[in-house]
Amino acid sequence: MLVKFQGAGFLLALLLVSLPVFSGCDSFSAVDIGFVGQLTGKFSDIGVAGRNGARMAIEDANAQGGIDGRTIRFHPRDDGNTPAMAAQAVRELADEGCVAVIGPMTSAIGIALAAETEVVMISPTTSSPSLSGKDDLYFRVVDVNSSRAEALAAYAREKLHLNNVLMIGDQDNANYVNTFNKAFAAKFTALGGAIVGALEYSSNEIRNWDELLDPISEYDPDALLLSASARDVAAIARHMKSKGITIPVMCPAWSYTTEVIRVGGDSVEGFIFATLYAVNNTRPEFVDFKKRFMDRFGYQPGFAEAYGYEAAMALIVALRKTDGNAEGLKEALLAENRFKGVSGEFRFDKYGDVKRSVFIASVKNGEFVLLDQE
Amino acid sequence: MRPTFLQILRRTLRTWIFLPGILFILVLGALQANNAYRAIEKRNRVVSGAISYYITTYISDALYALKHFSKGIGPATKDMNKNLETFYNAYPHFERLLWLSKDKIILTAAPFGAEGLPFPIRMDIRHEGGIISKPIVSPGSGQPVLYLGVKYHTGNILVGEMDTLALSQHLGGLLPPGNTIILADAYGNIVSHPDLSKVLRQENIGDLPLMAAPHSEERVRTSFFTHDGTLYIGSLATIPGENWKIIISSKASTVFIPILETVLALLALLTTLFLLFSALLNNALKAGLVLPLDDLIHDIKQLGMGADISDKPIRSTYRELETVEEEFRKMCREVRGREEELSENAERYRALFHDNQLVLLLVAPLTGDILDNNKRAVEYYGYAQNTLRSLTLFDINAESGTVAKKIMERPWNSGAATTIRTKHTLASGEVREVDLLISPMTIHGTPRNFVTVIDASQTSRGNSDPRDKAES
Repeated sequence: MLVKFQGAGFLLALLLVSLPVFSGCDSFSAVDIGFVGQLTGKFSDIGVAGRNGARMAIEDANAQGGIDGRTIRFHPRDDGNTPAMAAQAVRELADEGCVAVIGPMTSAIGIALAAETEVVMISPTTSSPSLSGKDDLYFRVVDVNSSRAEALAAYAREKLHLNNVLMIGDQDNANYVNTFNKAFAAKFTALGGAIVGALEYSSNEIRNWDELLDPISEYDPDALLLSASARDVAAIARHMKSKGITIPVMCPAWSYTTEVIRVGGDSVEGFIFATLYAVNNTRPEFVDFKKRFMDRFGYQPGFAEAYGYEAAMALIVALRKTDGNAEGLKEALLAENRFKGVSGEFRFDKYGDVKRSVFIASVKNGEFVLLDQE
Repeated sequence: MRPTFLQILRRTLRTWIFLPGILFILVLGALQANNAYRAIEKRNRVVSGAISYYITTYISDALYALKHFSKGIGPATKDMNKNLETFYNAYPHFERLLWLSKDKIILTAAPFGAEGLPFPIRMDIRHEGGIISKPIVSPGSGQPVLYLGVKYHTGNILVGEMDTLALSQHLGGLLPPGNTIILADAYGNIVSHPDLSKVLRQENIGDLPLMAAPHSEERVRTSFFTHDGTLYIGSLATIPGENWKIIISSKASTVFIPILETVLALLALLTTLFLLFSALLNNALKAGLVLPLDDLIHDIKQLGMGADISDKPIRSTYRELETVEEEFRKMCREVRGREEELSENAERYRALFHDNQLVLLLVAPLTGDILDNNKRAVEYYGYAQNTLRSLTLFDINAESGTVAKKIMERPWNSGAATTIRTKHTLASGEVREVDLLISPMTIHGTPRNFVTVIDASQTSRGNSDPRDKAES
């Protein structure tokens, strides 16, 4: 609300100032929605992206009248990428009256929270199969990563004709990484390929990338499967370039953010990603979303922004059916047959999971392009 | 029902003293609030101008230093590490300096590290140099940074990493506590904020009503806005060139609550004084005016009921009312005297007329109406009192109406009392010969005949029949 100053308006201003003093509360009719994700540290790219997407959905909803005229307030919290901090953030948000929480952004945190949460959570990005098929309050707007792993394995074998792949995975997000790599390995070997080895590291502990990359030559792989965050992928890419390692690199959707290009620069050119998100999606809703997001935040949105937006949008659709209350929210989410997301339509199954299309993308001239649509 | 004197007084006081007093204090408060707002507006204009100049200078100085340094070195300089280290130590603007090859590989870094790696930021450097990134978290330090870069004529690039936390600390100390200075890019991505965690979390304030307001031609736009349920006064200024935004905001409560407190204190004081004054005035008027008036009213009522109040002590507390009361007492005494006189007259009339042993009638001469009669007349005529009063003298006169009328008019024609013999019919139907002694008189300007009826039958019978005289 913007109150343009006018001399006579001061009595009103004084009244406005005094209202909280006398009433002891503010915006009593607002609907509060929380967010948890890593907003600082190495994985903050995906957290900040998801938060920005969700924020934009809430701004859009408020511009359309909120929930039955009630303003939606957004409360982002940093989960520090630790289950304890994330659980505390969710508890605090629930205590502060948030009717639901958007997030988390990584599977390791999602697995820690899903079984315990007492508020509805909708994760924009967690895709570990370990979260599937459970009747809880945990929803997500992306498909399990195993479907993308299998699609990537098939692409590697059938389109790139790769035979030997070395897998590298960040064990700080072990559940996501290991389920993705396992599904990839199963499909790749089933199609006649071979997994020549698996290297593990901890993004929180690693100080020297050379220690991780030096053993690569011993395996002599045709390609790398690099399951890591965008910043780690960018860092590894820069070190690979400096070492002259030029083999193809394949990644899950975790690192499919604009951060990988911004930080990785030229060194991530040609990297391949299995994603649910088509950057050049021609769907009118998506084109409109991309433009508005660019105007709002000053950069091109990636998958985390888009799914952050869709998670918040789905939550708001359901909250409009429960008059902004937490009661009946789960049922309202499950009852909706078709959420009109920006990247496509979706619906939750009885466990709060979704099925979505898989795309294979790559970096070309500093931008993401879809390989299976070229 | 009409209001009481005290109610009228209280209403008048409220209308002409209390309400104008409240209005005066509110106007005073509004003027104070207006002055406070103007002062903040003026201060923010000056401060935002200074910050804008500071930021522009800070960045242009840094760019100038980068350009100046890059001109003094060559792409094949052997002591590049040392030169860069010297420049880094001499110039405090940068957290890190990088010397890149034209294909953006880090050749040298100060402090040492990352050599041989590709530069992490995609960039399109203008020839004159400039900011080459939005506020981001440094891949090296993990701190929020901005990158500035200048291009050397060989294609090499000199990049300086500026720590925006240092900028936040610089700006944070410019205004007293309670004021916030935020620096953001054109889209609201925070560059500098007194809450450093907001910088680290790369928060965006593009939804701030001040940022989202329509574009204005004013260099600095000041207005009220609400954020997270709190009312603020904020000023928005745009830094030319980079189009960064400076937002200086203060909680409206910190500005207006002191004024509101003063206004409320004055209102409380006015209300207290008014109530005190009203109570004192009320008591004084009650004791000095209302109660004596009540006594006066009581006296009047008592007088109305016939009581004698002439000797009661005078209780008035001021001269005017005392005069009224004294006059009233005097009037009471006069009234009492007249009452006694009237009472005596009435008694005398009762004795002379009603108790008289002669038959007396008071008659209207023209109509013959019997206006009054005494007890003896009732006995004589044999009519009930009410019946007799409803008759006229013509009704009881046994002679013709013309004769009776002449009888009534005769005293008025002669102007003196007249005695006439005539005949009257009694209630029993018996006709008696009577002598009427008629005396004309005027009561309240109306002619009346005072009639004395003397039964003449016995006299006549006595003359003709001596037995009657003897029997009597």
